[in-house]
Amino acid sequence: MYISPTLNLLDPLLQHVSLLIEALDRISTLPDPLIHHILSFVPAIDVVRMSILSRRWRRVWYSVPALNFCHTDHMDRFHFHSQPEQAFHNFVNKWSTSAIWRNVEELDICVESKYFRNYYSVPETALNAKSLTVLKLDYLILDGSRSISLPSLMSLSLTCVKLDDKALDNLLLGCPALEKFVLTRCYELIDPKIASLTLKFLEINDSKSFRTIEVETLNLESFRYDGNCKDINLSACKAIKSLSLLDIMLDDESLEDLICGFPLLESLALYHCFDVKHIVPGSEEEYAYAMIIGLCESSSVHSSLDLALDDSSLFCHRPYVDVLPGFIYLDKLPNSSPDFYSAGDEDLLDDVSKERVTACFPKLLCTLSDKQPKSWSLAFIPYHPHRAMRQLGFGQHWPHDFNFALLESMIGMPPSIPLAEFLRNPFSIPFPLIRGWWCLCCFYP
Amino acid sequence: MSSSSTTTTTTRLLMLKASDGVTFEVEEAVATKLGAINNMVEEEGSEDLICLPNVNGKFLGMVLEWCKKHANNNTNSDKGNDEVNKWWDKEFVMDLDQNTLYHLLMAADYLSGTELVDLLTEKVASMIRGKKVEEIRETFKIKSDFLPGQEEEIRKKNSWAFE
Repeated sequence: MYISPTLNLLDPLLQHVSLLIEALDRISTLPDPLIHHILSFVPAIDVVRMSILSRRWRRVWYSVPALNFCHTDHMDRFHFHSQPEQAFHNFVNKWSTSAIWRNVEELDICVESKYFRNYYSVPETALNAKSLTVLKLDYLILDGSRSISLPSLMSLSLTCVKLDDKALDNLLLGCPALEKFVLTRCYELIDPKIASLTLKFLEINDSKSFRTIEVETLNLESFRYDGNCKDINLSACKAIKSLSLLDIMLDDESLEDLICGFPLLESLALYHCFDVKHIVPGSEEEYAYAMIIGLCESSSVHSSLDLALDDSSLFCHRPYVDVLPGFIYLDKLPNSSPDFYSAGDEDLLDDVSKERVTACFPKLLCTLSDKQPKSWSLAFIPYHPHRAMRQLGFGQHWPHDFNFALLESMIGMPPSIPLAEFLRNPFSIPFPLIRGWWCLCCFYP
Repeated sequence: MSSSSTTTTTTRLLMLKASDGVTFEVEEAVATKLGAINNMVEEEGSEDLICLPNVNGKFLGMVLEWCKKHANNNTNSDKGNDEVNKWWDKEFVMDLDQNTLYHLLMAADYLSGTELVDLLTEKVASMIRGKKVEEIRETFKIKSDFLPGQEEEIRKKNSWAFE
């Protein structure tokens, strides 16, 4: 066998060169914008820890535009909970004066109480960050005397934040551009008043401490309420297009009064509203809106539910009502694709995946809120051959892992499933075997 | 060396020339997945040879391979491809060595291939997430050039992140 001598000579050299190339530090030579892009996919605590990599990395993180401070994500991994209070204290003190506040656009502070003996106040700088557009606070205190100026803030979410009515007023006054507000489990509010000229989307979850709620938002388009406060004043909100009510004790009459006040109403969703028996959406011309009626967990009620809609808007009539224990979605356009509408939040999705979906939905559309898109755990839907499910939808932003699990769970499904129309960037399953099963989902914009 | 693609009478072809002289003949719909090429075509038309002096042929080839995969998807009404592409993407970045990853990222950035930049930066991020500093140094061959004591000082400054 003849081996070329030049090749023989070159071989070790080439090997050496390739080893040298492999030993090069490439990442440090990337331009800042690309490094920021990479770090935007990395949790803040990892980003900060990277400051000791080398001199190149020392200050890189000061200018990262989006930081996510969900400590709980990393508690275990970094043994953060060994001295969590001291650590958070340091975080507030050290970061208050830090330059990052000049640039930060999205901030997510979660100091879950199971790791902390005390609640901590929201850092002053976080309430006066001019560039901030998205703010999410969990398990913190916000008192009414703070000066708040968040001129760019468009989306605000408070979960388990200790604030009273006055502090809420004060906060909303400091957010002149706010468009989306989600309020969850803030039990120190008694008679909250939500006043804003810019607010378009409002969601209130678990409000068991509330006596009354006053919503004074002229431009509100979507209101979602999950709670049992009966005294909700929405009379100022004439622009509402989408209304979702969960667990609210409304009877036919009060529901009618309520929806008559919203001339632009396009969709109505009712969950667990056991007292509603009969829905008359006014005259057909005026109320040619899409109806979403979700009567989850109220199967004893739906048999007596009467939908007084004309045939064109009543896409799926009686037969479906009878077989569906859960959700009905009626689209205003007969030739569009009405899908059965399911839960809008994580808990309900879980419910859906475990029980509802396995029931006999001819069509199902899982609509997930964007509250915590990254934290969704696996929620795949088992197929039950004896059920009449014909069409199924899923989300567009599912984590990759989910897609695999979804595939696995769908392998046994028949290929003869009708195709669904798509809402937004949906994707399908690449298995020919289950071609016909489409995944769809829509998110709140 | 030139890689040719299937031609039909309706698709226009563009000629791209990499820094090392390698030329690629690609469908316009494929090449215009790249913002930079799209701009050039819009401004100057597609008649001339497009020279890309900052991209090596090897990496341009890879970028175009990615574009081809993703351009097909747009024209194809079968929405199943969307998911196929996600899998394909995963494969695409799975076994990239760091040198290739680096050059590919630089090329994608230079050519304004936004989606490809997202894919590659996310790949790099996945190599960082949850790692200890020493592990990151080792993975990326980063050498600490701090003076003695400096590293300790920074650790102290952001002690909350290191506890």
